[in-house]
Amino acid sequence: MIGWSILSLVIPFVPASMLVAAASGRPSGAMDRVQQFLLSFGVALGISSCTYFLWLTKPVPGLPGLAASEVVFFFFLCAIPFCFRGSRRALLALPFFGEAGSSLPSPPRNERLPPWLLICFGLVLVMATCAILMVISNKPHGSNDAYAVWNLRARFLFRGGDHWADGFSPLIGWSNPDYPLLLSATIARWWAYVGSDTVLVPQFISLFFTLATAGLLISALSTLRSPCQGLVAGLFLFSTAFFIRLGGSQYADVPIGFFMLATVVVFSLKDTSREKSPLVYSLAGIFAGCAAWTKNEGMLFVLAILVARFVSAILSGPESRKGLTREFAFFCTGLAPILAVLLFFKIKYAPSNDLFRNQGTALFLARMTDPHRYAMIVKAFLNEIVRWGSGLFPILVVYALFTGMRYNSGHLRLILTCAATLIFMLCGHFFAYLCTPNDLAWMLGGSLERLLLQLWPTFLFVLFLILTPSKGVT
Amino acid sequence: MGRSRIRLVLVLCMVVPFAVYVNGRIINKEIERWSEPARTEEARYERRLQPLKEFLPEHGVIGYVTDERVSLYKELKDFYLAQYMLCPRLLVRDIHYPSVIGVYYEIAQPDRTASQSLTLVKDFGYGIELYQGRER
Repeated sequence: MIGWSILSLVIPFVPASMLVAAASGRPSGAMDRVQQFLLSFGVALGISSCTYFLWLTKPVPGLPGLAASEVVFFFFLCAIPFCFRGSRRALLALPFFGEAGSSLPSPPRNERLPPWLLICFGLVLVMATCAILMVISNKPHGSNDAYAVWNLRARFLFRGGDHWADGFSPLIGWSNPDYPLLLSATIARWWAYVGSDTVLVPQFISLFFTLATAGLLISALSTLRSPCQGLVAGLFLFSTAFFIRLGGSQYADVPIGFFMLATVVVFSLKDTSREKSPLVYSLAGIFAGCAAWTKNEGMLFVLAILVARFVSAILSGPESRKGLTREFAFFCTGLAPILAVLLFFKIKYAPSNDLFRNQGTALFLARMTDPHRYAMIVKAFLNEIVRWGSGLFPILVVYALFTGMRYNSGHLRLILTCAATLIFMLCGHFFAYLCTPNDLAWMLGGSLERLLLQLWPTFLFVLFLILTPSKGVT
Repeated sequence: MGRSRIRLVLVLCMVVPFAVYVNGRIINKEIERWSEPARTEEARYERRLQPLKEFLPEHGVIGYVTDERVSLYKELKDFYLAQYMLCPRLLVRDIHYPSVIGVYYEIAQPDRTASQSLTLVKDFGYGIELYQGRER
């Protein structure tokens, strides 16, 4: 079982790590390595879930068929980075290709972290991990949405044989069969390699995405601002009770939050350096595609990030506007294959979304012009934001007022991208609530907190980019 | 000690205790839950449904009936769990299918299915029954 598990991870991980290395250059420190490792894992899980779904549609029978198809596919994926001159240089500089290349320039890091900070962070990290593991062990199949949606669909894919598409039947419309498949297909693919639908697989994936989100936030901020700043942001994330609980509940909100954060982190690789390969944009496109392939909200995210990149380029000066077409083209190169798989799924298998059912023009207009609905949604948003994290929000506000704002001017476009994306996402959610045909109070009560949690890691990322960095010993 | 360092210490004085409190509370709650019967509820439910599987077709739609007096939350949760446990069969709350399963919480009533014209195929005990469904 362990051997097959490792194989199922290694097959997509090798090309994914090559792609990430080619895009982001040779790692120049421990935090860079952590960042590249987590990004590689994200790409590996995202793309392998697509290949598994495609394999299901035209299966080469049995596990050897799946493994062989994947090996062939990922072998060709390995070749892509070599097509770009800058990427080829970065790839050849990787340890497993010898010492041929040279390290790409990176900012000097001479800051030492105070030991007591590391001890405090270590304590919180251990406690958070224990808390997630205990939530997982008390709910081995996950909480409601896990067994009613994500793990249920994974079981259909794995157990269904020729009838795997029964999982998208409108007869079980309550399980949202139109939801994208990244999480379910990742779980089912792993089960296929292991040969049984053990609960350990969704549990591990749930734990991985929770810790990886924190790891990515910390490593990205450590690289962009200071290691202290990264750790403080990580402490805030681990202080969010809902993040910890949901992390252990096997929901898809934490994974989509990871992919949203990964998209903006990858943009940070390019926005803060001129040396990186244009493949960075393709990598950002892959992550945005993965967000769309995880949950329907991800499609809103794709739209939001595209508009945000455009707006940020306009606002941050002529230098940014110059390469906009090239950036857009590379971004779409990464995004398009995953979006194509998603469209194929939506057109061929998924029933229509409940947001678009019972939507006559008259009803739609009535909902859009109902002031009571506006008031209800605004009230719910404000309520949720003020109560966020059961007391965490006031601490964050005090912290922000205390430290003040001092951002690096080189990060301007990145900050604008993140801020605009978050604003567009909130507007999109507001609009979705406004026109939902379902009971509004029930929708707000059941989903708003989770929608905000999806944006929370990205919000912390941009906030700690703006705030004056905490420094250790120099 | 520089201003930046003082700021860091003060920040940590706020955040670290809060993080410890939040995670400690979750751990404490989960430890309490450890001894509650609800923790093993899903496993027990799965054991109840297990013998049913070999009498059901491997694929296709299965009907589902339950007591009417159970709370809505509990009824929905058990229905979702039954679908999850019996996957890849499709479970529908309807009796117009060749196979219908009954999940009951109250003591068996001899006439509980008579009004619905269901024919009992097998009683598995623990409130789980299999019926031949009614034609439309």
